Amino acid sequence: MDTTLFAYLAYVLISVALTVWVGRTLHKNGRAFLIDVFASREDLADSVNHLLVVGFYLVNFGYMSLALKLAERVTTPTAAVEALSYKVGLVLVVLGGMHFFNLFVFSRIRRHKVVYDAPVPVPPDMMLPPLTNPRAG
Amino acid sequence: MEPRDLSLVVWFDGECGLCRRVAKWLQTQPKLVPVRCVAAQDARGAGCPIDVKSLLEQVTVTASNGAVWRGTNAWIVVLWALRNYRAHALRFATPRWRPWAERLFGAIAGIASWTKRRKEPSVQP
Repeated sequence: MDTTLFAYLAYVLISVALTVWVGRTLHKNGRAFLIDVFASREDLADSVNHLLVVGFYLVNFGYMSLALKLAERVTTPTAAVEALSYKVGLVLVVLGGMHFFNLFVFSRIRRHKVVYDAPVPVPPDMMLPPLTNPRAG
Repeated sequence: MEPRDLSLVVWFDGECGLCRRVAKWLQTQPKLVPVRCVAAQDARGAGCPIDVKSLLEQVTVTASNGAVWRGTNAWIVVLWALRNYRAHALRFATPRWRPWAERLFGAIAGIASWTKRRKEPSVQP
């Protein structure tokens, strides 16, 4: 087996394993968070969780395939390891970026919910008997 | 959580151009809680239990549950009712931003009363 092909195979194996590991981590740990955000509607939370993970896999596997090709053929095992390390490093950085982006999306969703559920932030200056208000709206 | 049927009425000075403009702008904003603007001069006819004179002193918000907010508090409650400004209302209510809110809304009230005073001679015969 030629060294370049070996490097490619190792790259695919390592990248797929890493992506699946990060994807599963996101899926498992994002769930509790989403259930809170979607007011205990587990079906909705699971659905959004699943959609997010699908998007995550698509972006990562897509990047992985695009970045697979080596600019020049590697002939020695040392060169193969170097090339492999470079490519896997890129995949890791992209994974990290995606991971933080996911966290950002989660926290945004949550902040929105916190804001929209917030009660009146200031106490009334006085209280009148209710229903004295003219029909508002 | 607020009661689901909470609604607000903003009592503004109907003789002040700035106040009327703000009231008009309010009507165009997407709301999380129904808000209606009524000129303070029409308060008695609209069944407001607060007298017109004190309504004209400070902008006042009354809620369907009987709560009344005045001045800066009234501004914060109105912002809270608007979809796009609720986050700002929450910020203005924090101890850190409250003094700035007082200053900002105090300045707006100052400008409003100034524009009104300037117009008054032409209003009176």
